[in-house]
Order: sequence, then structure tokens, then C-alpha cells
Amino acid sequence: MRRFILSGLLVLLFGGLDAQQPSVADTILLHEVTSYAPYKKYQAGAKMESISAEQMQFAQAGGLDNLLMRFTPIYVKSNAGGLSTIRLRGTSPNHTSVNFGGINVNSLTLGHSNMASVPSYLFDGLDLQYGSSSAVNGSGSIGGAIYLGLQNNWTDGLKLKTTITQGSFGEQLYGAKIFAGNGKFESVTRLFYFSKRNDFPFENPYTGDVENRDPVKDRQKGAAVENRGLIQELNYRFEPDEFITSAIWLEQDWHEVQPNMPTNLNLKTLEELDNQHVRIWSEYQNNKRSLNYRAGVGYVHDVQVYDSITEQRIGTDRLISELELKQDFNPGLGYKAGVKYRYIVPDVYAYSEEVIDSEQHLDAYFSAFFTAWQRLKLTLNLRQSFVTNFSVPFTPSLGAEYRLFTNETSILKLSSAIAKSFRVPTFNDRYWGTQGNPNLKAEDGMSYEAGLSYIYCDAGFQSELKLNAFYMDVKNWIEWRNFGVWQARNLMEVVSKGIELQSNTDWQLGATDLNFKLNYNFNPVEAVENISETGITHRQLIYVPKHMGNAFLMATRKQWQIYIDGTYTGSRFSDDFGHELDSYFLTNCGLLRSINYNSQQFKLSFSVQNLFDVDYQNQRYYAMPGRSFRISISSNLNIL
Amino acid sequence: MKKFLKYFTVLFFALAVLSSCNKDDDEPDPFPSNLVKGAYIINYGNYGDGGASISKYDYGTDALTNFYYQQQNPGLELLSNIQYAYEYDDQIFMMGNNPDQIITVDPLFEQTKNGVTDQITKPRACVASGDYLYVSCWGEPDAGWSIMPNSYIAKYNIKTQTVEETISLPGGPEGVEIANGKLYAALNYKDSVAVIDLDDQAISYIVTPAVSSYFLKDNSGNLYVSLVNTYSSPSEDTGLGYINTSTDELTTVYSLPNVSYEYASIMVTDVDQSKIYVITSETDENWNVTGAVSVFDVATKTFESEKLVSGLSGPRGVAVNPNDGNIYVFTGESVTGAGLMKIYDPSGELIDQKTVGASPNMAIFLD
Repeated sequence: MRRFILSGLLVLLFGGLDAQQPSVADTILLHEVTSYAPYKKYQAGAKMESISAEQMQFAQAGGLDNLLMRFTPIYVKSNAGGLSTIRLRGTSPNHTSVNFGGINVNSLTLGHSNMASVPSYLFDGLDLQYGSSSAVNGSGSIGGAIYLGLQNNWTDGLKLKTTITQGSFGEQLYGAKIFAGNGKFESVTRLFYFSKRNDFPFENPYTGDVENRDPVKDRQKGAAVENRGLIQELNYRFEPDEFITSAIWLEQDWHEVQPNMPTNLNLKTLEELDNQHVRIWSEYQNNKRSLNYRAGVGYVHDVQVYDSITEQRIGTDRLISELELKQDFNPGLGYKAGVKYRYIVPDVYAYSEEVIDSEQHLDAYFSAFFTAWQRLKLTLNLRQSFVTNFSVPFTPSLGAEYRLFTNETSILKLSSAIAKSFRVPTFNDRYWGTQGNPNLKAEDGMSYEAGLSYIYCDAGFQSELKLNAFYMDVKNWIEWRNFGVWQARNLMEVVSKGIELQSNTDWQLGATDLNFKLNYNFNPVEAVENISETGITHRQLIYVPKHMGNAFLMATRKQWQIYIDGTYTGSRFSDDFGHELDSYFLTNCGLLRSINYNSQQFKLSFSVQNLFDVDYQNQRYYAMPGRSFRISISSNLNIL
Repeated sequence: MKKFLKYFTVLFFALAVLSSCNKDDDEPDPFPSNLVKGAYIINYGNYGDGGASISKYDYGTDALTNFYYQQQNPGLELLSNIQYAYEYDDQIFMMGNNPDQIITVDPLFEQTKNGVTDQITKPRACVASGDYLYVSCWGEPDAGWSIMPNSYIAKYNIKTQTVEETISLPGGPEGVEIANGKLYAALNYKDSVAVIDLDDQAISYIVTPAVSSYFLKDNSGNLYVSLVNTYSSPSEDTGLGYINTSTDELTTVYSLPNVSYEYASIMVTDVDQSKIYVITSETDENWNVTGAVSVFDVATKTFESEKLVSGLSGPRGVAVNPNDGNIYVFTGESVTGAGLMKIYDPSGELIDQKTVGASPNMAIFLD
């Protein structure tokens, strides 16, 4: 059987260029089948990664921040549960798009998503794209993109998956996924409730006590989290190549605004933030003829209310529609072209209706792939966005992959990509009160990437090693500054460069299967130009570590799984004066036991987070939890 | 012998008294001028995230020391954002926010006692009279930060380091001043200046055309008050108001557009109180924001048509060096980055520029 699987993998591997597969080896990632193939098909040379199902499961309590910090070399600036913002390849949180169907769920007012409020539990998979992809994903994808995946299983019967998790500091997760269908019609309901008191103990050195300067034992206050959400999918398959899929995602995320350590000691007031989202995406696909087409419509409603002050609501409504045509002339040549339209109505107390009542965005895009000599694959992406009263640069990207070497067990591949990218300033940047700046230009990036990947497969050992180097130059980088009044301006030109090493290895030792993953990032990122009078140039940007890495080892033997993972986060500047936050290394581990009872599956797990009780700060002055424990019971029931 | 003993005793006591006097005279000054003299810039930091600091500028030697508080108090850092600082009786009182406290240091900025937190919520500014410091506090703000219903004045006993009583004063008192035995509080969330009788604590109000922020007292004991346009209380009637403290009337408003709504030190008098320097910030038709320093001539009661300084980016405060009359303007665009101290001579010519801490608010000059 193993040989059969291995042969199958290699067939896919070698046949990747000939068959209608997206690319050499892209359909293979050891220990899992990747879901990013549709994105990769038109983006040769782009670095992509899928988070494995196991890793998704280990970090399903909480938001994407846990997942990203533990299993990827991506830095997320966060406190202990409230606000987490991603820094992909040293870029700002606004430079990573978070995609759900045809929707970029990033806030149009703030420009980014709170990673702590995107629940891991609801999704079947998570794909990451490192580097610019604006030509494919539109505005904002300068540093990278996240794709939230829902898998269409076309269920025939009734299945129920449940999870109950209890953890330290009042953490609890209740989740259920109900799959019902007849093979043609499918309903998938996913719902979860997550809450955490977050009242963890810590040593507080910031007492302000000049008479006794010893740290005191303190307990975090005002950092509770309560999130709940639901995704309802309704899918119908007319024929194998013709179907309609719909997903409604309702989400409410509430959290207290964690006070820093000096304030926590004598906390007088609590602050809270409430976010509500409605996201709907429905899509029709027809792949029956050589000319395929896809049409989607969506609606997004976002509202944020601070401290229950409803008259100061910050919200937007948007309607989205997309039409895409796709044609593969042969396995080595194809294209797709489409248009995407968005109609956006902001509902923000601080905007003047005389200045902004609605905005329209229209994107036209074209993508193509071409393979030659069974070794070379080229892709081209072109995008032009049009925004009401705003000028957006034309955005092309070009990618290439070349298979340098293959034999029966291994393959060596070279890849390269050049991509232009952009970000339209947020609504707040342009319209907030009298401080918005309608004269802002779009942020404008160029990114260059080269990669080398090596895959080795034999009967008992499979490994993939990737080495990527990138250089990214982002002009007109926007930041808010106090110029007398607070205002957003195109302040900086930022250069981010780096080397990323990634490995994923499976091997078998007797009856034990081992999986080992290793990531390391070296990412110098600095402003090379700064128009601010006291702006710093040629120094690492604040809250971007130069070094990050993590390792993950899992052993599976019969019904047992045991894992350990560790993340190293290098030191980071917390301000322009050179104050640095210390580097830290966090270790987590866990044990899982699968139980089959009456053909039904159950899983028990126990895990320890921050095993060595490391005292660290991710954001200056903010306490983080020490060692914590979590137990979980999951079931996977085939009811009909 | 008896006579000798008598004279000896008198002589002994005389010597003892004289020698003790000498001893007192020889007692070293705990705050010698060569160590203290300088401008101390109060850097507010990043709201809610610390970063406050003190920069010491010795204008005699042109030496600047950033993070001076940390230098003087090894192992300590200013954990609160410093909203305002006030020098009185060889002590400097700093109004700290997040966490809220009154921090007291000596003229060397050495802190030996803990900050006072009891009954101090969001302290803003202060003024001293006798053994007391009157501290304006915002208290717990309302949900929209629009009316400040719980604000008050804390009567702080400097000797016992306790708040003896609080005087409820809704409306967000900001700058405070004492004149004619009355405490004047500029209300930042209500179009009025509050007048509190310090004997019976009776409160009366002087209606103003805009909310106010700070006072300057002239030689006759009357007050200039800054009238500002804020987000929660918009007004176009900004400028300087003049309050007659005998009648408690707003006698005149000297109009000046775009008076800065920053805090702590948006206006200051020159050394002989003949001019008042006021910071303004305006947005032009191209959405560029620039700041300036306007000059009010106390004799003619008019604003000069020419700004003393213009083209400032991120002006936050202004101070005058009492020794040479030079004007110090503080700018800070970033809450996590350096601010600037720009030094101008009275003609408005830039003499020097120094990099200071984050969000410099004001300066106090010690000698």
C-alpha cells in the first residue's frame, strides 16, 4: 500500500507539468494533501504553505494567532488574547489579505483583521501565501495572503463532529460541525463558542513602588474574551462539474482591552470591544465545457462598538460580485479572466456624509500559465483596479518554476517570481473626521523572490526542503502621525528582505510514524526613506523580529499521538529609541488518544502550553500567560 | 573663680551658638545649581503604553540628557504617561496617567516616595497654594468622553501626601490657576470656566464661547484663557479670553483661529510678560497640516499679523527660557519615536534643535 501511495505521489510529481495539475509537486506536501493548488496554478514561483489538519486541531481553541505563532515563522504582535496583528515578511498588518471565498475579510476601516478573532475551529484548512499577491488577490496583499478553507465533501448521509475543550484560566471551547446531504445537496453547519477569563497569574515588575522594587505576584484583570460564530454552508451539485456553493458566516467577537502591567496593578476601569460580522459568499461554477465559468456574489456587514457606545459605531456594508472565465487549451496552457465589483457603504460616526457616502471598486484581472519542455512553468497575472476618486497602479506579476533535476526518489526545483503590489488606503486613512487625508496615494510595492525546493521520497522516508529568498520594496508606506492633528500620510519607503528555510519530513520507525517540521526566517526590514522629521531609517522596524523559527515533532503509533513544538521569537524593537523586547522560546506539547467505538471515532487530548513557564513579553508592558493546560474531547460520528 | 565660670559659661554658649550657625551655613546645598540648572522636558510617551521620559537640557553647556529620570533613578522607569509637571517648593509634581498617580521628585528628579494614587483618577494639571496642591482630575469619563460628568478637583496636602478632599466639577477641568483667593479651572468639555471659592468651595461659572484649556496670569492678577476647538466640543470662536478676576467676567475675546487643542503648554508668556506665544495648527486646502507660533502683544491687545514661527510639524508645546528669553517649541509626530525641541530667539530665528523623548509636552526650568 505504501509503495502504491509513494508511486502515486511520484506520478503526480512528475506528471505535474503534463497533467492538469497546478505545478510540479504542488499537489504533494508530505503528511497532507495541500489545498492551495487552485491558487498556485496561476502563481508559479509563489511560496505557499498549508497548515496541516493535525496542527489545526492542536490550536483550534482560539484564533489564528495561536496557529500562526506556533506553526509558522510568521510574527504576530499580540497581547494575551485581545488584539493580534500579523507582520508577514516584515510588513504591516494591513499588508496581509485574509480571504474567505471571494471576500477579503479585512476591515475596510482599519485595514486589517484581528487574528485573535478569526476562529481556527471553523475552518478545515488554512493556506498561507508568503509575498506579494496583489495581482491575484487585489488591494492589500503586499506581504502575503491567508486563505481560510472550507472543504466540500459532498456528504452523503449525516455526520456530526463535536469538540469540547477546557483549559486553564477559564478557557472553554464548544464546537460542532454537522454535515448532512445526499451526495448532491449538502448542508454543513459549523458553530462554536469560545471564552476565556484570562485571569492568569504573573510576576509584575512594573509596580512603580520605589520603596520596594521587587516584583509582586499579580493576576491579569480585564482581559476576558468571548467569541461565538456560525458558518452555514448550503451546496448543491447539479453534475460533477457544475455546482453551487454558499456560505454564511456569522461572528460575534467580544473582548476586554487588556491593561498593561503597570495599569493592571491598580486597575480602575475596564474597556471592551465588540465586533459583529456577517459574511456571505455564494458561488456558481460550471466546468462542463472547455470554457469554464464561475460567478459569485457576496455581502459583508462589519460593525465595531467600543465600550458599548453605540453612537460611536464603526461599520461598513459591502456588496461583492465576481465573474470569471477560465479555459485550459491543453494541460500546459491556460488562462482565466474576470472582473470583481464591490459597492461599499461606510457607517462610521466620524465620517462626514458630505465627503463619503459610498465607494465603488472594480477589478479586472487576467491570469495565464504556460509550461514548456515538461520542466518549465511560467505564469502571468495582470490586474487593474478602479476605485471611486482614487488612482490605483496597474499590477502585474510574473512567476516561473523550473525543474532542475529529477530521479525516481527526488526532485529539485527552482522558482522565481516578480510581483508588483498595492494597497488602497483604508477608509479611516482617507475619511476619518477632519483628519483623514484624501490626498493619500496607494502604497506601491515591488517584490522579487527566488526559491529552491527539494523533495525526497522513498518507502520509509519522505522529506521536503524549501529555501526562499526575497526582496520587497514598498513605497508610499502609510502611517498615522501627529502633524498638529493626527493624519495618515505616505511616510516611508520600506525594504524588507529575507531568507526562509522550511522543511517537512515524514519517516517511519517500525510501527511509529514521525513527522517533523522546521521553519526559520531571517528578515531584516527597515525604512530606507522617511519623510517624518524624526523618522528613523536603516534600522529594523519596531515589532518585527529579525529571527524567527519553530519546530514541530509528532509521533503516531496505533491509536496514540504525541507531539512537541517550540517557537523562537527573536528580539524586537518596541520603539524608535532602541528599547528591545527580549527574545523568547516557547514550548508546547500534547498527547492524543483515538478511540474507535461502534465504528465511531473519539479523540481525547491533553496539552500543555508554555511548558517551561517562560516569562516573556510579546508587546511591551503586557503580561503573557505562563504554563497552562488544556483537555479536549472530540467525536466524529457517522449517524446515517 | 565664680566670675570666671560665669564668663566662661557665656563664652561657651556664644561659641556653641556661633559654631552651630557656621555648621548650618556649611551644610551643602542638596540641590546645587550646577546640577539642577536646566530645562526639563516632559515627554508624555504613548497613551496607555508607557514610554514617558524626562529630557534634561543644560542650556549653559548645551548638554542634553534623554531618559534623565531613568538615569537618576536606576532600575526605575516612568510607567505613567506624564500629562503635566509643576515645580513648587523644591519639589516637582508630575501628573501621571495610566496608571493614574501624582509622582513627586526632588529637583534632581530623584524619586524616594511612591506615587499617590488614592482619589487620583486621570489627573490633568495642578496649581499650588500654601501646603496644598489643587489637581484637576477627569475622574471616570462618560461612555462617549463627551461631558466628563465625574471630573473633580483634588485638594492634595503636600506635606502628608494625601488627598484631603475632592470638589466635584463636571466638565473636564484642565488648566488651573489661583487668583484673588479663588481657584479657576478651565473646562475642556463645557463652554465655561469654573471659579471655586477656596474658603467655602462655592462654584460659579464664567461662560466662554468655546471650551478652554489653560490660563496665564498677568501682572494685575487677571487671567488669559485659551479657547479651543475640540472634537467633542467644536467651536469656531477660538483664541484668548481675558478674565477679570475681580469681577469674574470674561471681558474680551481675542480671536485666533486654530488654537492648538494639545495639552500642557500650548501658550506661554515671554520673560517680561509683554507677549504671549500661542501654538496653532491648521489644515490647508491641500490637507497639509502645519503648526505655528502666534504672538499676542499684551500692550496693544492684538495678535501680530506675522507668526513668530510657522511650518511646524506636530507642535505640542511651547516654553520660554526665563534666563535668556529664548522660545522652546516642542514637536512630536510619533508616539513611539523621538520628539524635537526647537529653540528660537525672540525674533523667531531658529538657534538650535535637539532630539528629545516621545511626545514632548512641556518644559519646566529649574535653577
